Amino acid sequence: MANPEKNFFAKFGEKCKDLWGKFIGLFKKSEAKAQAAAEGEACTEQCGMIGTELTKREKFSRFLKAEQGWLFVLPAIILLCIFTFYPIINAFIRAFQQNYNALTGNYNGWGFENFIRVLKGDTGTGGAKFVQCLVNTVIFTFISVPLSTLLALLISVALNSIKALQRAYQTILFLPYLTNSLAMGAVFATFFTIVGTKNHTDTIGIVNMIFFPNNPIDWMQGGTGYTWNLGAVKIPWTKYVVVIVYEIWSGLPFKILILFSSLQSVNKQYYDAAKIDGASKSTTLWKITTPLIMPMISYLIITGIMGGMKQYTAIVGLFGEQMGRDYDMGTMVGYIYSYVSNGQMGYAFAGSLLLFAIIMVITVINLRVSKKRVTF
Amino acid sequence: MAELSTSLTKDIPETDFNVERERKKQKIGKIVKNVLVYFFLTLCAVLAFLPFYWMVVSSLITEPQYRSPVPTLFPDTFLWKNYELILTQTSTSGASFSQVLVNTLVVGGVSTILGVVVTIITAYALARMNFHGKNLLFTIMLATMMIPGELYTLTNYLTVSDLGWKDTYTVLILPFLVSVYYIYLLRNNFMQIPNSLYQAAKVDGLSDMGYLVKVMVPLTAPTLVSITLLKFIGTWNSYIWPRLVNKSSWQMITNWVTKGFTDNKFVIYDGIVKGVRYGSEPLTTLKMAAVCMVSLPLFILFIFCRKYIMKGVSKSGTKG
Amino acid sequence: MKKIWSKFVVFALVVCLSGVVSVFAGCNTPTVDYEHTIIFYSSQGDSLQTITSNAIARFEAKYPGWKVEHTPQGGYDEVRDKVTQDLQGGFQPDLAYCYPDHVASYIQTQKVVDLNKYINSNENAHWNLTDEEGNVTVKTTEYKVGYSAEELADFVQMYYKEGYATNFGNAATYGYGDNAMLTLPFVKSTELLYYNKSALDACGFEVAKTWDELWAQCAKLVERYPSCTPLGYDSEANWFITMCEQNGWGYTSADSSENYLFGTPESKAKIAPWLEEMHNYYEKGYITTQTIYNAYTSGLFIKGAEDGGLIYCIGSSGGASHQNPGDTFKWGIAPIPGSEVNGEINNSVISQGPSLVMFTGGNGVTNASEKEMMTFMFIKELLDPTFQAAFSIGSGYNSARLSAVDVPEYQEHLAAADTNIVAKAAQVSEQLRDKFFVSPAFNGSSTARTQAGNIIVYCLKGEKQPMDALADAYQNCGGKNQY
Repeated sequence: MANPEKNFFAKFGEKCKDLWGKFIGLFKKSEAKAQAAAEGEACTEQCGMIGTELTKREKFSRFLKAEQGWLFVLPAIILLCIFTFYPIINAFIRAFQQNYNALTGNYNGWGFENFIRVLKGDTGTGGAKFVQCLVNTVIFTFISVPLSTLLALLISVALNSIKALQRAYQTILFLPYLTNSLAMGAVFATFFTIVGTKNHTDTIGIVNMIFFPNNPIDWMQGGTGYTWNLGAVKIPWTKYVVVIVYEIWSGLPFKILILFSSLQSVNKQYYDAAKIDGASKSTTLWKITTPLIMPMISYLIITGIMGGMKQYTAIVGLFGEQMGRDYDMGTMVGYIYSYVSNGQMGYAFAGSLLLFAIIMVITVINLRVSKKRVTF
Repeated sequence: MAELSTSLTKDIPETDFNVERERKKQKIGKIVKNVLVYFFLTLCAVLAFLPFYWMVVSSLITEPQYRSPVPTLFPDTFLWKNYELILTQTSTSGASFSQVLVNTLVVGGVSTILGVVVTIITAYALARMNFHGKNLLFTIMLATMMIPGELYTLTNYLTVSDLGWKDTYTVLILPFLVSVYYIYLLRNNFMQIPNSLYQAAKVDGLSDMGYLVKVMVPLTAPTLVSITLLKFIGTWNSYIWPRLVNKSSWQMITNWVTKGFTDNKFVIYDGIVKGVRYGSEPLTTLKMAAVCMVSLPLFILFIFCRKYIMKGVSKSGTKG
Repeated sequence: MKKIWSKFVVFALVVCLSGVVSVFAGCNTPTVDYEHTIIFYSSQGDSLQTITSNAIARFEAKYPGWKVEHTPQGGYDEVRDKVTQDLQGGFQPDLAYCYPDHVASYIQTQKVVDLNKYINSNENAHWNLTDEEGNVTVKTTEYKVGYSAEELADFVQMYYKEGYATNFGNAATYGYGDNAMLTLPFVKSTELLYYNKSALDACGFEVAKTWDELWAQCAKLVERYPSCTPLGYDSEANWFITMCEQNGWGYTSADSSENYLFGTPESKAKIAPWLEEMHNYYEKGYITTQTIYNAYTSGLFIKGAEDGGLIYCIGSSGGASHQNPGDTFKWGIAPIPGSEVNGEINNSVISQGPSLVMFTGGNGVTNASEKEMMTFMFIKELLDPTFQAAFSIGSGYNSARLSAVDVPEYQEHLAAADTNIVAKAAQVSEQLRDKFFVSPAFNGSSTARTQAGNIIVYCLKGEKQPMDALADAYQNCGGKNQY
């Protein structure tokens, strides 16, 4: 069977190579010209085309100077084109193909059917439900990201203010970054799990042992008493707590690393000046330190939200491939995966475009808000 | 919290100014503050460390102990057998440990170096240079950050297969060389550097490139080191992609670690090797041991690089 | 001058980068000779790979010039995902582990090979050799391609019949005749009833042969051992499917007019009372499952009745080593309980395990048919009774060949059945052969399986009423009909 996809790509690849070759050629020429120019004007004089040649060269060098930024970003753009933009365009196309079958490449017609079915939750293949996944993801993200950023800020400030053991603390706090999220999800699950039967309890889990020894909560299962129903959406809040705790824990190291290193690079003169002015420590923190590292904080929050909207592996580590029961802990990416493994790529692509749109909106809001506070 | 306590001590009305008393108060405040700071940090450190500790402990107990419903937090005896088994077992059809180690180091090294260079020049162009369509380009790049990378995987797999890149290092290096995330981070950092420096450099006759290499890179050294470190860790931990595109002798260390550790022909009960092992269920304790082994180099790397971060920081501090 | 220098540096950088890129791209000559290398995907762990490597070595010795590249992919799901992705680009392997529902999806590409061509072949294995001058000669070996009638009869018929195209949804629409053979069985496992003989003896009970007998024992067992749980079932989905099979309630069907039989009003009316009953038993503390217990129930079984363990534990025959309680109590293994239907006991038991599926023309090879034949010769190596015996001993799975039992090593292995729980498990499951059933495979059968497990959990815990749970599950499967 001929694969149109393949042919298309092969052509695309060749075109890219062509373009690349032309680009190289272009700059080689310009380089040669520049060299020729440097060697002396005598040549051009002899040629007798002084006026036109000069303006052309000038024009070109001016153009080159104005647009030399493109030269800098070129390698990145080429790679992005092949490995990021092309897949996205591909996804866009697929999302509008109805009943697209990834295995055979067949589809019948174009339209919005995939999107409608995704939004209605009418996909009928045992996959996750869109609204549930959206609510889950938004709640996880908007609770865990601010909390972990705030905590990271406090920890970084505390780290910055001590001298002894600073290294040791910093090293230990960075440890979670080096671990595997699937394995760590499983570890967290054991902290919260009650293992036992009706007649005999083996363990109530470390968290229950510390906080609820008498009335243990089955965090990982939720169940009737621990679930709020909002229409079709279920909120098993005990499971939410587990996820949020995990998210905070796993998000901290990177945030601490970034905040701490930017705290260290804040000019000490500012603090000296503040001291002379008699500002208190808390005033210094909120009025001087925070604004100075605000670009970093806004970076962390924005990327944190983006990362949060894309979380997946941790949930699988915590709740297994099914992400809870019937995907009740599903996330947006989990939603996409559930349809990828179902072979329903159309829904997966439609879902990912919706996710893209949602994150886009959030980011625009985010940028607007942060623009007011920092010069972005 | 700590700051609050000090601010309280400071806000006392200064009517009868007693130097001795004031100094004493300040001293007490300082001690209280320090105690609170250390308490807070210790608490956070313990919480951060706990799951890690659990991982290490799990790699040192027997499989039945691990499967028992009561978690073993303080094993009586450490069972190094798991590590021994992992190091001694030679998989016949898979790759050897040394092979995947070489793969990981080569791929990690090359993609980190190339990646950082690309990140620097791209971030510099986006932060400092003016060219047509810059903002549009930056917006598009940011927008791609919002699309889950999982979506690319399938198309990219077909792409690299068409290019005939399967079972090579290229396929592990190129697709993830450009990270918009880090470009964004570095660009933010570059933007922080005051414009006056750039003008000063221009007056000194420094070219764009010279300015980038001589001023901006040293000034953002901490971030660059962080990016290098994170990039390397990312490569080291990459798992899904290598498994998809390469056969085992071209895969990475994490693939080796996450393979099913069902081997070893011996089941370990209470530390004694008893009989032949059956069943094809993977042994979690062996896996944990492998995960620990893989995390250890990263841990060491971090300890060393942490020093470098500090160096970079102090350098930029004096220059500031 | 400075400006030129700066431009030059940027230019050099770009050239360097592109140079590195193109060098990388250029040196990427294919490292595998796909024309003569059989690519085999499996989900084998290390120890099984070691056993399989013996078969590979034998194959490569018999057919010089041919190689097998065995690539374990993790679990069954990973094999499925990888094969699916490969099929989309035309890079499919030649041979892969498969479950029936995977094949039901693969056949859409029409790249699954009908094995009858080779099973019934009278030819000897042969392939083309091209010498330096480009002359082609045919290299013929002494090994027959096809299976003889005796050899075919040596397959466990139940397993063998799983391969017929009729078992895979609508294979006919993709051009496969009803007799087409799409898979061959590799090794299989089943479910067994592991029991605590000491505890049963103490109460004066024999091991339960039916579910009714088992429930009747529960009250006394719990009275005697207050912290114990009489029954632990590892796989909720298997429980649901097995009960539907034993009682003839109807679980799923490959007939696409109604795939999800459990959602029909008739089936719901029959299943719901049973679910209700199980909920009552759960409330009394008679039952637990892997999901509800939050861990493998085998771990609960080996604790012993006094320490809150199980009396009966139903788990896979492949996981027997984890059911070994050591010296804690006397264990026993029996077939799982049956259901009494019209005065007869039906103790059908599920059969699971990987089969082998062959694909054609992967990686653009030009010698597809020759390669198919050699892949089949490798399948024969894997299905060789001696190899099957070794694999069974190593894995705890049952062999697909009857004569594997006659292999001396296997006999030796079985001889230890009274003391060795793994050997005993193998022995008991050999005796269950005529009770095996498989659930139908179609696009969506794995979803049905997941939903079946969920029904049990919801109903046992009382989170949903049986009728609602069944209706929800039907809807989640995407059942077409409105009831």
